[in-house]
Amino acid sequence: MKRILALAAAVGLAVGLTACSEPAGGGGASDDGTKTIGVVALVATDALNAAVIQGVTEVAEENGWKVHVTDTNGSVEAANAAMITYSTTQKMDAIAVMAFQTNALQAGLQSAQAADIPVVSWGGELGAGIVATTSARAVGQDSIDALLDDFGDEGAILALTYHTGVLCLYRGYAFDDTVAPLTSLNVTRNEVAIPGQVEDGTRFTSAWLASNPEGSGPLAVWGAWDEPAIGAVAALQQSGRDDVRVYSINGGPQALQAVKDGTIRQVVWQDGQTEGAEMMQAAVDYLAAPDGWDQKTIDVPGVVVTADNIDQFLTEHPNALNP
Amino acid sequence: MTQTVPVGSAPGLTPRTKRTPGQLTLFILSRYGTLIGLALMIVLFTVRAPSAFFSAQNFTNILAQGSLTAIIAAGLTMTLVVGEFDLSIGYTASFAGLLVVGFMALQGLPIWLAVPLMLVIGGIIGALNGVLVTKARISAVIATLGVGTILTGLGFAYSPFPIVTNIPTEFSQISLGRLIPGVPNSIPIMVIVLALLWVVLNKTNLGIRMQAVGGNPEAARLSGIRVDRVKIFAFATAGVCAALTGVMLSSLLGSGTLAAADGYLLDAFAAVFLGSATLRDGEFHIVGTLVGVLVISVGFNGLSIFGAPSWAQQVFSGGILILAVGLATLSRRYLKTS
Repeated sequence: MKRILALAAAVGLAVGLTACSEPAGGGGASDDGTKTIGVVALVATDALNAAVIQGVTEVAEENGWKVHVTDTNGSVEAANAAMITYSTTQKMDAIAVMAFQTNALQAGLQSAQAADIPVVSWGGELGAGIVATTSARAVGQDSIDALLDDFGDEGAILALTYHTGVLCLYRGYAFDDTVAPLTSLNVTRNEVAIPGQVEDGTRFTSAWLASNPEGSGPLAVWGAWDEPAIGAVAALQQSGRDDVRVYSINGGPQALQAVKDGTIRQVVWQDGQTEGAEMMQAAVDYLAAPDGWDQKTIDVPGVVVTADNIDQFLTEHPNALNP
Repeated sequence: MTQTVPVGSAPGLTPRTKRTPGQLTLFILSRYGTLIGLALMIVLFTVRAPSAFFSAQNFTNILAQGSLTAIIAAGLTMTLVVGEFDLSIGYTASFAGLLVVGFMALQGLPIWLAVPLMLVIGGIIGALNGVLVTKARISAVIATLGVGTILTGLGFAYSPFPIVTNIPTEFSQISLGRLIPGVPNSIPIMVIVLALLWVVLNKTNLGIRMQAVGGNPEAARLSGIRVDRVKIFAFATAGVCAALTGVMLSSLLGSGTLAAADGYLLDAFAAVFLGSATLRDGEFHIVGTLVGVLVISVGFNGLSIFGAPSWAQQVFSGGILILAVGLATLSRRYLKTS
């Protein structure tokens, strides 16, 4: 039995290594001139991250590039390590880094600069070595503005935040700056963890509901992104409450379905696919004409989706529920 | 020659002697410290926020929140009872949550088939962990971490995006329905699962064999117990419990999402180890695990009601684990040497 298992393990390993390994010269610019972009994903399993990668991939393939993705699971250390590997070992032609603060990527950026590899960022700040980035704050501002238009400026709000990811960090800044002067709003902030973002959304909301019983005034939950907001919806359904409005950002399939079902009041849909496509295009454009390139911030506006326009939105974006 | 053993004692243990007040305090701390801590938290939160904390609705919410953690932790308890680890449970739950929804939404299976099928797959995943650990002699940490990572990859390959459409509306009733008025189904499901596992562990020959394997696998083997089979059963049970947790989470969320249940891994371990410091001398057991879940859930709920900052809640979670398990361990060690 042991021998059979050992043999099976050896065969499996050999097959796996054969399947995973790339041909000599693969990874970066290959012998046939094919270019490769290395994507450093924050959480590749997140729907918005996946949409951005999809956008990158589409434009990459249109231009004859290959795409290589590394999932860091939210680890900035892993992001730096991936960038260094992309620059030194795999020799990518460009690097796309997703949702990390630029000043936390110094080691990776220095390595990329030393290898003369351009870096495009999704939501990070412009900095040395970064040729283009997308705006992380805009959709946060869109969300809080739309929330106040709908909810008003009196009542209690539970904000489910996450300051480690740069997108949510800037969304949080937009939220904080906007609500700061509104003294009639009682804001409770809870920081959710990854992994466990859905679970935390449920637990924080459940406890907050105990402090804010039915009839205690206008109540709302603001999620810095979809998953905690989905957790909040679960808590509301578990406790049988329908007096709390839930607001979210990202507009992944779950949140859009929740808007359709009436359990989320409003979501700002972030067009991650277009952002990914624009990032990739910026990398292609830079490499075509690097001299005189001006760093740029790509601003793809979000769309506020509510019960009033969800059907229209889904008509215009037929893949939004089933990417 | 036969040896006479005092009634109420066992070979190797000293007969009961009258304890000093200090020893008695340490004994109580080692056995009941976690329960005392739980009671103190409830009293403190009730005094500080009587209307918000001490209400039937809030306790129902705490139980409902804790039910998923309790189910996955109960499965983990089975593997720890036999002296092994399972780091794949969170990933298995996430995988199951995604797959069960996919079975219904993408493959068109009815609920009555999709859910049991997923539980069977969960059992197979657990059994695979068991085979890797017992037959291939791979460390449980490595084997279960490897299997968990593979599951994440397979889930990503199956559907990188959440599955939200074409899900039967009845699916949400698994967690959110109320067969008992006012009580979400997740609570009675938790009670049934925990009761079942308690019976298996405490009232069956299999349970006795499991505890024997956990106590001394070599002695268990020499006494004729098929250690590998017992361990594989424990892993398979953990897999089924993890799959059930994933199914219930997806039912609660109304969708299948990759990685949605990953966070349950650490909560489950915290609960099980808290439970090991409850009522028994460092042994893993189902009642203790339930107490551990309650300590974590009540603490989290109470601190949130007080509006404690997030860092304080993390400090609490880590602190209570170290305090309860550490105090119990130190108390037992001191009692043995005094």
